[in-house]
Amino acid sequence: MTFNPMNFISNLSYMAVGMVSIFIVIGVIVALTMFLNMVTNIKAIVAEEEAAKNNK
Amino acid sequence: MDFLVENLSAITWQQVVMWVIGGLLIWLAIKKEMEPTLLLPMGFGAILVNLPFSGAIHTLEELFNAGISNELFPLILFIGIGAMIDFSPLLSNPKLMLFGAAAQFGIFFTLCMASMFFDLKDAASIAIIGAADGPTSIVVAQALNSKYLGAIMVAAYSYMALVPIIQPPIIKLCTTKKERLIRMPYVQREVSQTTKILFPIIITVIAGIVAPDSVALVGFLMFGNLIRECGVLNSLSDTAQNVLANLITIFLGITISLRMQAAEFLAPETLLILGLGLVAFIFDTAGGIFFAKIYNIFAKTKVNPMIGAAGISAFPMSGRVVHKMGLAEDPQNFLLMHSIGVNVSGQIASVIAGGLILNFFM
Repeated sequence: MTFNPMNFISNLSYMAVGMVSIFIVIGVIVALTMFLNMVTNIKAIVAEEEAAKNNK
Repeated sequence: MDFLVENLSAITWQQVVMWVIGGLLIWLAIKKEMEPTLLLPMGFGAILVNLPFSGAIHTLEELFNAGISNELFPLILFIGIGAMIDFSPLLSNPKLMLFGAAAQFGIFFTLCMASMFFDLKDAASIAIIGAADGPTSIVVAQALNSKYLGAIMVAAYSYMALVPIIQPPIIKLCTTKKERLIRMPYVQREVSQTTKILFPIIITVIAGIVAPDSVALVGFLMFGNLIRECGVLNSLSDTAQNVLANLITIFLGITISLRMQAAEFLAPETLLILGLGLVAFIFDTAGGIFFAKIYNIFAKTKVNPMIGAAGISAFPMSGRVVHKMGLAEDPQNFLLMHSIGVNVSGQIASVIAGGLILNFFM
């Protein structure tokens, strides 16, 4: 084990790439989940409206 | 009598220290109820492998090769964990996932810190303690062939258990009283069964494309969740959550103790790894909180920055800590659903972080 403080600076690129990558991946997942929620909610609303019409 | 003298004289002070450490882990597990499912087998195993001429070492080596070297045990455990997680609070408010991403900051900060002392692969293995997730730590450290697996595991599970002690002072240090008093009303949004079923599949596909090395981690976690949410495999879901998870946990703890032999474990590096693990947890917590503060600058509806701290993964302790702190500040401020949502997102983000680390260094 050796102490080399300069490694902290030279490896900061991993921190930058890592954090940006995580945010991109999670961002894509968030967007897809919102889309999925939207689509399935619309389907649910349409189904409810149809059920209400049928009841009438 | 000769053999008795021979055995007694073979005991080294280092082994005695390991017995004490083993005893301490057992005490923490039983008396303090700190991650008892893992700390108790690890504590007992630490004593077992540090007896002179221990015959258990060979058996544990077999178990290690059968379940840890090939990452089988942690991955199977992930099926159980996936089956235990309810993603509903997260799915009803997907933005919460961003806080989970931010709270992985400690992993990458610790990677830089650890690289000052260790080579990059060991530094990455140590940094992943910040995933606050035992199986991910095992898979990454083993895949990167780290020789510090024992110390990494002790640090990971100890700090996970210590979340209620570690996080509150950091949260208080990083937030003002006014921020801690921000109320977050919970609006129950219906999450469809289709969304619950498609979510684990989508996550697996995305993670697999971005970080192919993480697909085993993410895939097993999400497979467990799919079993839970599909609605037709309740018996399998129940088995994964209980019998399977318990069975693997029994072997996981005691097998990892193989890496707690005195000659390997009692080194200055172990203390350093414990210190770096703490750094990872602290900066994870701070990362989540400061991201929430930045979010509040742009958001119409402010969030309580404390929920950012729950992105640390350690599930469900971290979510509960934030909820309790919210109640301590204002008895009418119920943050549980938000903090658990962030907590669950931290579980996903930490696995993705583990995959990215593997992508960088494998």
